[in-house]
Parts: sequence; structure tokens; C-alpha cells
Amino acid sequence: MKKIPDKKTFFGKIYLSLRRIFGITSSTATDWVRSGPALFFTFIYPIVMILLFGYIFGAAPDDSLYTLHYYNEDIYVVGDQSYSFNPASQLLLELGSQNETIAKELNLHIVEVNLTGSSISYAEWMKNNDIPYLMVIPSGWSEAVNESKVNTTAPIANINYYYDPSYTSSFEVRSIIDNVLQEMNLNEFGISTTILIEVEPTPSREGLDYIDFYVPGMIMVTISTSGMMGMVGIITEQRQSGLLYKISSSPIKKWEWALGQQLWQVIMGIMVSILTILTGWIAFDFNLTTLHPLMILVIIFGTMTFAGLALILGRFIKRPEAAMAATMSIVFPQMFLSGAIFPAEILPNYMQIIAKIFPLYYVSEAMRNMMLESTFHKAWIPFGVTIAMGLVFFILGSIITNWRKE
Amino acid sequence: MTEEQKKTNSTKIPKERPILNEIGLTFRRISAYTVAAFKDFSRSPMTIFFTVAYPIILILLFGAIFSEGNTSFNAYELYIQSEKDDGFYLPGSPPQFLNFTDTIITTLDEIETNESEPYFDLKPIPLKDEQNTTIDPGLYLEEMGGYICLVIPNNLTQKMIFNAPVNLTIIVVENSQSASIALSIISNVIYNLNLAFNGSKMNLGLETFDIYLEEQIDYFEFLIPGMIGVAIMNNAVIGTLNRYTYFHRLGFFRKLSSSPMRKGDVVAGETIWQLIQGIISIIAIILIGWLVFKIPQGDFTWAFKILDWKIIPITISAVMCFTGLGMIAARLVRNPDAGTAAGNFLTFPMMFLSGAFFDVSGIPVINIISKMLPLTYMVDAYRASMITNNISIAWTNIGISLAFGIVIMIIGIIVTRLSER
Amino acid sequence: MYLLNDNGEYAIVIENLVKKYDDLLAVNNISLKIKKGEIFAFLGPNGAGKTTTVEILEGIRKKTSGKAFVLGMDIDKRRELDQMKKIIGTLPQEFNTHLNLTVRENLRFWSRMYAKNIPIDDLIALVKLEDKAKVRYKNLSGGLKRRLGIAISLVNDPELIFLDEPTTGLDPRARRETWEVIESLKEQGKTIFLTTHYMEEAQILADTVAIIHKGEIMDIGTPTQLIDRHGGKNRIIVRCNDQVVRDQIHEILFEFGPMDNEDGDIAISAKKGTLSKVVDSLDEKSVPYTDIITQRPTLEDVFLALTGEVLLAKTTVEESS
Repeated sequence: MKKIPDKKTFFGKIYLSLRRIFGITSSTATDWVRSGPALFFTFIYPIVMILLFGYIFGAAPDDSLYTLHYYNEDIYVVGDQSYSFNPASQLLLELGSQNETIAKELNLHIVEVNLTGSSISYAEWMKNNDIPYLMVIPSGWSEAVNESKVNTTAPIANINYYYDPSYTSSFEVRSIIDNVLQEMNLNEFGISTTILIEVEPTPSREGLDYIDFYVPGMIMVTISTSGMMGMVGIITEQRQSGLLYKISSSPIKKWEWALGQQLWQVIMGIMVSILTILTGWIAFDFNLTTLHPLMILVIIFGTMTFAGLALILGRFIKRPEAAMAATMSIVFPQMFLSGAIFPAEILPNYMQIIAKIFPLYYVSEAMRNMMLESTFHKAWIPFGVTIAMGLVFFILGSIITNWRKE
Repeated sequence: MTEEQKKTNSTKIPKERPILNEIGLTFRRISAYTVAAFKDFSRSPMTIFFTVAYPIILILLFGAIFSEGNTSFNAYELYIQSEKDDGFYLPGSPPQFLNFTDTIITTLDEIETNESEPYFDLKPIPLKDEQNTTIDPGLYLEEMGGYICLVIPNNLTQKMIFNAPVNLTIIVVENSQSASIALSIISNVIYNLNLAFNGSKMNLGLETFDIYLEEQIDYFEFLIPGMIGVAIMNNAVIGTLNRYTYFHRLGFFRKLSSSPMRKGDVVAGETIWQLIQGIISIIAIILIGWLVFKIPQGDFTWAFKILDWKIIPITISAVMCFTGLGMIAARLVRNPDAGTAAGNFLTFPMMFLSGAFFDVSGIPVINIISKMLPLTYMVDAYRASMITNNISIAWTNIGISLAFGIVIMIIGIIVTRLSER
Repeated sequence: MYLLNDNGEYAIVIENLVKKYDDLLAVNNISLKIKKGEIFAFLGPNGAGKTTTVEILEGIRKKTSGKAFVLGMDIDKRRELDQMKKIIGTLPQEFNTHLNLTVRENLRFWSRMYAKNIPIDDLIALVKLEDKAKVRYKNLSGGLKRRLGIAISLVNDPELIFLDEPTTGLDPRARRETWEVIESLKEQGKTIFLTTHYMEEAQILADTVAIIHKGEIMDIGTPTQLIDRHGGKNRIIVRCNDQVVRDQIHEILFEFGPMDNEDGDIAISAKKGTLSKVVDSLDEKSVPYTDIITQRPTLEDVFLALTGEVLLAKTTVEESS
């Protein structure tokens, strides 16, 4: 018979307890690792998420220029001569139509199109040719501009800008044209610049991009989703197969079992985090200096929060389908309201208040604020809440888990 | 033994069954499968609640954020730190007191949207804190979690008059869309102030034309077809995946395969069951959307306006496609644990990439990917049938959806195996 | 209190145990005492309450009322229940363990749950799974899974082992091998609480059998005692495989009250001297029967007599014997 330290001594008891906990963790880990597809999906999932949302929210480095098509209706023709120099051509010059360098500086690539004699409307043409924005200098524009120079009551001379609102770049291109027109206004009409705007980025954020704030949020989203679903899956699966009841007839205590399961979730959480960070770094040039050692604790206690929640849920909902549906009902809204996927600023105020019910809110806040020196002190409260939640849900989950059949 | 006993004891030989009988038997088997699935579902209140509640949560969530009724346009939070401005008395009769700092702040405070809502929520930043140290506006902005801050130097008015040009600093959080929009508004205000100061005006303008304006629909209505598609997809893919992997594991399929039940019957039964669930989801979504968002606005007939018979072929295509997808995934995954992970892996990205929640046609890379996903066409078909009433787009998308549905369903049938023979 | 009067003689003592679900009385006032070192069997059909009782004793199901003491420990008291779990072994009816772990790894896992361990190699040898030690659980056949289950129930060298339907679904050879293992456990002085719906299993293995039906114990005793009490008389079995011959035999032996049994043979209740009369009658008419044997009543007959119902579960062991 194997020699085990005397179970009656204090250290003996601790040893035995650790042995049981480790047994649970290693068996769950081995089972999971060997289950092929489960492993694949668990790790591919965070990579897909970060790539997906990184692209959607424009974290991708955007070196590409906006291609602006234009149609100049405003050609002066006197006799056989077409005047080449007028406000219209001035405008085009300033947009860089003759000079790639100027255009590039504005982030534009200018392309002329000729729609003379076209029977369809500009909108139709754009839709048919998949052109998101078109600038049209209407005929008589230059004349109107010159008129304004001598007649201060002349109406404003408008350029026409056709755009597809589903393209976010439409707004940016419009801004660019607007700015050029404003400059031209000052120059053509000899207006001095008395007051200027200088734009600066926020001090600490120098060098940091949207993606740098996105990655930590994304980590927590993935951990909360897969952590919670994984745990719910394990519990309902083991209950269904009878494994859980066999375990309950052995000396292991509920909290030991719960801790063993949670340890595995934490290990997976850390692995997922590393994977997400690496993906963000490779694909989007995520700035690794924003990482702080305390974030590991956030990950640990964050994972425990969701695993604990899963335990609590598993107590009340026995059927696997229902358990999964319930989990997703929590996980899904949480994802959106926590500000991890898209900025919380676009949410109505009352939703931002509702967001504070969800654990993910505090976990994300802790992570985000830890990234910068200037905001670090704001991380303490959500950090504390995270630790508290992790412990409370774990304890609660362990206590109320029901191993007995009714 | 008597003669009678002999007669009753003799074994009965089954009569030859005509084809009609065979169809009848098949129908009986399929309906048995479907009814069993329904009873299974209906006897668990929790399952019903969450299967129906899930789409409802989606609708409440997104509807609340984006619906028309929610006109609480969020004013942009603009932090301002302005130093003292002594102003300037412009000589004349009567003399005019100019204070451009006040002018700027007042203008920004009063500027309104088309719906007469203030654009900005001004938040002043003090110059010094309690310990009498100078407050750096950039750091303050970060601490408060703001995204834009305007810094006005001291004695702006006199500087503008005597020391032009003057710089106003605007500190922004990079890549924040709100900051970009706020910045452009402020830039315009300052530009106009410049023009006014110089006694001139803007002579060159830009008139904009939204080429999709007539086709513009409010977000809530844009969303409904998307959520119907998403709910059906989730139920069908994850539901089928879970059920099939469990049936395999519990040996239920093996048991079925030794009965006259054929694979086709199981698949048909499963698809019909998913169709029923899909219909439940559609009803739930439309009902809640109508009661919670449309009726309070006085739109009592909305639910009837959007119901269109074309929903039926779209739903059938969607159910076929996603049930098939679930079956294919079940064949690959096998392990019920991995089932949900795999299911989410399939459905979650598709939800976002297909244009269900927001229009992806303008996003590079994503718009190409969306063309490869079945959900995109189904959502577009729903939208064209229910909301925009564009017949040609509806039918084109229905056609593609049906193609997806048939092809994926066939693959699903081929790869599904009831037993390991 | 049993405990006080008990000299440690009893492994399990149950008093007035009841388990009620809404209208259903799954366990109806069961009382019994099981001696240490014996094999005790609950014999009854599916749904009789066997598994429910066992689960209550194992501490994994709540009871409605009554008392139970397992190895001297009161299952109502938390501390004592925890102590009890250390020294019992269980093989549940729906037994399952980690699918992707091998035989050896599974045994290691369960060993870690207990302070006291039997070397894993010994366990593997006991259930003859040496050549399957590295096979993952999900790839084992049903019979081998069950064998592993038995090995798992022994990892902590328990004093008392609960085996809930241990041979259900096994082929005859596997069943025999399992019986051998169970008997060897008894030789080591362990107490075994067995539930089964197989008559032979109870008859061959058990020292004491309790007939359980609809949650109630109909009677308890050794197999011999029960048969003597309720089994009825011996029977004469006339075997034949032809329906015409069968009809003939029925006619000839009419006065003895012949009955057809499930095997298609003819059974006659045996009184003194009946056998010779039967043989003579049949030989006189040169009836081509296959065989004539006498059969002692079995627990099957006991069950029928006590409950009016047939136990029904026939194993294929009979056919192969």
C-alpha cells in the first residue's frame, strides 16, 4: 500500500486536499486537450475575434489613399479655346489633380471622370460602378466664385458632393474637400487668418492606437465568453454522464472540485490572453509596453468570476441546451454593453448605467486603466471589484452546487 | 389444442404494402421525430424561456440603443480650459465690448442639431487644483475619460486683434469617432469666427447628396430582419449541433439506425423542428418590437406592414442551410463539449460579417467576406421583403439563399451517419 | 439505537427508509441489516427502488425519512457521511468516467480522490485490463468499461462496495468473470451490496437476498431459505421442439396440469412419485420428447409467488450452461 503522509496531521490534510484539486485540474485538462476539435475552436476563436473586430473598427493600418472621383462640368469655352485657369482648375490643383504629392498629403488619389452626355443620374452611375464618392464641379461654378469676388451679396458657390453613407470614409473625404474649400476661401478672397486650430493627441496616448485599447478588452470578452460557456458545458456534461455523481460519492469536497475546475479555466484564460496579444501584435502592431504585471491578476480573478457564475447557473439549469442558451443570454449583452467591442460612448446614458450590472464592465475597466500611467489610479476600484467578484462567485458557486440527486 | 386455437396461433404474414402506405409510414416516422423534439422542448420551461428570450434580448438591446424612439442624441462632451480674457472695448458710439473667449464658448454651448438638441455638453476644466498647481488639460482629459478638449489661451480677444494669428489647441483622443465629429464642428465654428472677425464670409460651399437617401430606413427597421436571421441561425446551428452530438453520444442514433427510421427521416424531422423554432423566434421578435418600440410611437400597424409571404421561402432556405451546417459541424466535432464552442465559432463571426447589425458594404475586406456567407443573403432577402419592398433584390437573394440551403443541406445529409457502419 | 447494541457486526443498518416523489413512493419503508463480510443482493425488476436505495446509502441522493447507518456512520450527519465516503467504493448503474483518459489515467485520477490507495497495477491485473491499460475510456467496449468501473470502485481498498447492476449488458463470459472478481472480494473480507434483476446472479453470488418490489421488501433470507419458503415444489420439465409433439404431450399428461413455459417446454409441478408416472405415460405412447429433467424452484418462482409478477430478466448464462 502506498505511503501517504498521515492524513490526520495538518500538513497531511493540506497535501491530500491539494492532491485532489490537482487531480481534478489535470484530468479536466487532459480530457480537454485530447478532445481535438474543442481545443482547436477554443484557440482559434480568440484569434478570429481580434482579427474580425480589429478590421471592423478600423484598427488596420490604413495607408491606403481615398480614391476621389471628380467630374468637372465647369469648362470655359470661348470660341475654340477652353480657359485653363479658373477657380475650378484652382480647386483641382489644390486637391492635387496635377501633383501626386499634394494629393497624397491630403490622403487622396484623384481620378477624373467624364460623364458628359450620360443619360443616367450621378447616383445611378455611382451605384452601377461601385463608386462611393463623387465630386462634381457644376457648370458656372467658377463664374459664381468670380462674381462673389466683386459682389459681396452674391450667393454661395457650391460644389456638389455625392456619397454613399454606408462608407465611413465618405465623411472623411468630405472633410478633406471642406478643408480645401475653406483654405481656398481664405486665399481667393484675401481673408487673413486670425485664429487657427492646432490639434494635439492626448499626452500619454502618444504612440498608442485604438488597437492598444482594444486588445485588453477583447481578451476579457473572449475569456468571459469561452470561460463561462466552457464551464457550463463541463458541468452539464458531467452531470449527464453520471461522472459528477460518482465524484460526489468520493471524499472530495465541493469547493475542491470547483477550485480544480476553475484552475483549468484560469490556465486556459492565460493561454487565450497570450494568444490574443500575439495576434494583435502581429496583425495590428499592438504596443506591448502597455502591458502591466497586475493584469495577470485581473485575468485570473476575471476568469474566476465567470467560472463561478457558470457554477451558479449550472445549479439552476440542468439541461445542456438551456444552460447554454442562458449563458449566451448573459454573455452576449455583456459583450456589447461593457464597451469592449465598441466604445461605450455610443450607448445611450441609461445603457451605460445598465452596463454596470455586468461583471465584464469592471474587468474591462480594470484592464483599460492599467494601461496608462495617467489612468492607473482609476484602475484600483474596478480591480478591487474584480477580485471580490472572483472570490464571491467562486465561494457562492461552490456552496450552492448541487451534487445530490433529488 | 382446439381448431380455433390452432388458427390464432398460426403466424401472420404481412400483406404487400402499396407505395402510398410507404409514404404514410415515412410521414409517420418524421412526425414522430418532430413531435418528440417538440415535447422535449416544451416540457422544459427553462429551455423555452431561453430559446425565446434570446432573440428578445437581442431586440431589446439593439433596439434600445438605436431605435427611432430613442432620440436622446448624446451630446458630445467637450472639455474646455480657458484662461482669463480681459476682452477689448471697440471704440465707437456706443463702444462695443468684445470678448471672443465668451463668444466661442457661448456659440459652442448654443449650437444645436437639426432636432434642436444641443451638440455639446460643455465641461469646464479649472486652471488650478486645490493645491494650487496648474492643471494640465491633456492629463485632465485622460483622467476624466474624455475624448476632446479645447484650450483657449489667455487674452484671446486682444491677441486676435493685435497679435494674429492665434492658436487654439484642441486635444483629441486618436481614433475616436466622436472626437472626429466634435472636432469638425468646432473647426467650423472657429473658421466662421475667423470669417466674421475679418468681416467676410464663406463663398465656397459644398452641397452633399446622399445617393441612398430614398432608400434610407431607420436603424430599428434595418435591424429587425438582421435579428430574425441571427436568431434562426443560432437556433439551427447550435441547436442541431448540440442535439446531434448528444444523440450520438447517448447512443440514441445507434438505436434509431436499427429501427426502420432512415437518415432522411431524421434529417427531415430535425429540419421541420428547426422551422418551427424559427417561426417562434420570428413571431417573438416582431411582437416584442411592435409592442415595445412601435406602438408607443403610435405606429399600430407596423407589424402588419412588415409581414410578407416571402418570409416563408426565406425562412425555409435559412433553416435548411443552418440545420445542414449544424449537421456538418456535428459530424466533424462529435464531442458535445466542443459542440457549443464550434457552434459559436461559426455563428458569432457570421453575425457581424453578414451585415445583420450594421451595414458592412463600406468596410474593406469585410465586405468581400460577407459575400461568401449565406446569412448575408438571407438577411438581405428579409430586409428587401419586409422593409424596403424591393422585389427584384428580394427574389435575387431568395434565389441565392435557396441555393445555399439546398447545397448545404445535401452535404449535411451525406455526411450524417446514424451508426458507425 | 443500533449503534449501541451493535458489536460492529453490521455493515449497513436501515430503519424505515422512505423516498417519496410527489405521488410516487420509490422506497417504501425499508428496514434491514447487512452483516459485514457478506454479499447482499437486492433482487427486483427495473423501477423497484433498488438504485434509489443504493444512492441514498452512498450519500448522493436525499431521503424523505428514516435512518441509515453505513459502517457505523449516520448518513444524516455531515461529518460522518464524509468519513463514510472514504471507506466505501461505488459502481453506479450509469457509470461513466473521463472519456479521453486512458484506463491507467482514469485509475490514477480516482486514486487521487482518496488518501488510501491500492497500487494501480494491482487493480489493472485484478480486472484483467493489462493489455488495455493505455486505451482511452471512450474506446473501450461496454464490458471493459464496466470492468474498469469495478477497478475504480476499489481504488481506496474500501470495506464496503456498492455495485449497482454490475453485469447488465455484459456477455455471458464477461458476466462470469465479473462474478469471479466479486467472489474474490468477499474472500478479502469486504462487504458487497449488490443490486440486480438477474435471478441467477443473486442466487449464485449472494449470501443474503432481499426481494424488492415497488419500493417494498417482500422478504429477506438466504437464497435457499427464500426458495424453501416461497419457491413451491420442484418441477418436471419435458423438453420437445415440435408443436405437434407438444400438443400430444399436453393431452397425455393432462391430469398433471401441464403448463407451457417461456422456453417452449412443458412444466409440471412435481409431487412424490410424479416423475415416474410422467415418464411411464410418455414412453407408453412412444412420444418423441427430447429430454425430461427435474428443476428446483428458483428465485424467479419466489418472486412470482411473492409479487404475482414475473421477474422476467433471463440471462444467456442458462443457455450456455
